[in-house]
Amino acid sequence: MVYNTALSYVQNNEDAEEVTQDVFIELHRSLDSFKEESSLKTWICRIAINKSLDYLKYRNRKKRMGILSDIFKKDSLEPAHHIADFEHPGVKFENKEKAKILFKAINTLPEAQKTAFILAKVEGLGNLQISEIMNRHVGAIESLLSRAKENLKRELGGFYKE
Amino acid sequence: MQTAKQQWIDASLNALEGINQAEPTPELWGRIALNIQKKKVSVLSPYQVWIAAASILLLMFINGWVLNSLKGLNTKSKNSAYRIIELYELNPSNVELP
Repeated sequence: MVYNTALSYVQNNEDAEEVTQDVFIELHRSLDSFKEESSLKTWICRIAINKSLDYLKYRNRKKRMGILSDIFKKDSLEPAHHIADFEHPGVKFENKEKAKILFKAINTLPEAQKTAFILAKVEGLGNLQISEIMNRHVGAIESLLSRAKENLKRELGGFYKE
Repeated sequence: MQTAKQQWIDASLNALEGINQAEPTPELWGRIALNIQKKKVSVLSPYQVWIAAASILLLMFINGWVLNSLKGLNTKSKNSAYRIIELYELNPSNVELP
């Protein structure tokens, strides 16, 4: 579950493994301070989400620094920091191409909408479970998912080829 | 009736239907266990650090106190020695004494 969640955020196997390591080290460090206010699974999920989001921020910062120093590769006009198309290994074969585009669109969502959508569609959690993990009311989760879908539809429209 | 574009968008939005959990490489768990072990060994408890610091300070204090005590004795002994030398005129050539 931890690796699967991290993979959906960072969209890269090596980065997802690094995030997974960070999560388990944090779990080992903080287990004594777990107060059982929520279930263990919820707590682990929260740590996985926070570590994934922190990693994305770190990667974006690195990308911005890289853009300042070296924008283009020497032998092409392609930006040096282009992120490769992401293929989630768990996606059904017939959906692979559309899933690639969907994950690109998920990247553009604000953090809260991205989290709600990933937990619902990738982890297959219900709204009640998502509300416990994100510490929000169920109504707020429904609203986040609705807005995420609207934003994704708009973003996907840009990828459509006649 | 939905356009082809809208149908494509809806299909893309549902592209994660029936998705399975991704699994990491088996080596990952070994690496995690190793990292956790490394962190266990390298961390000293605050209690150990405080005991070490207090011991060093105590040793420094005792060292300073002993040195000071010895200095006093040397000066005292020196003065007594000089008085005896003067009294019995044991330095006739008046060589400068240390």
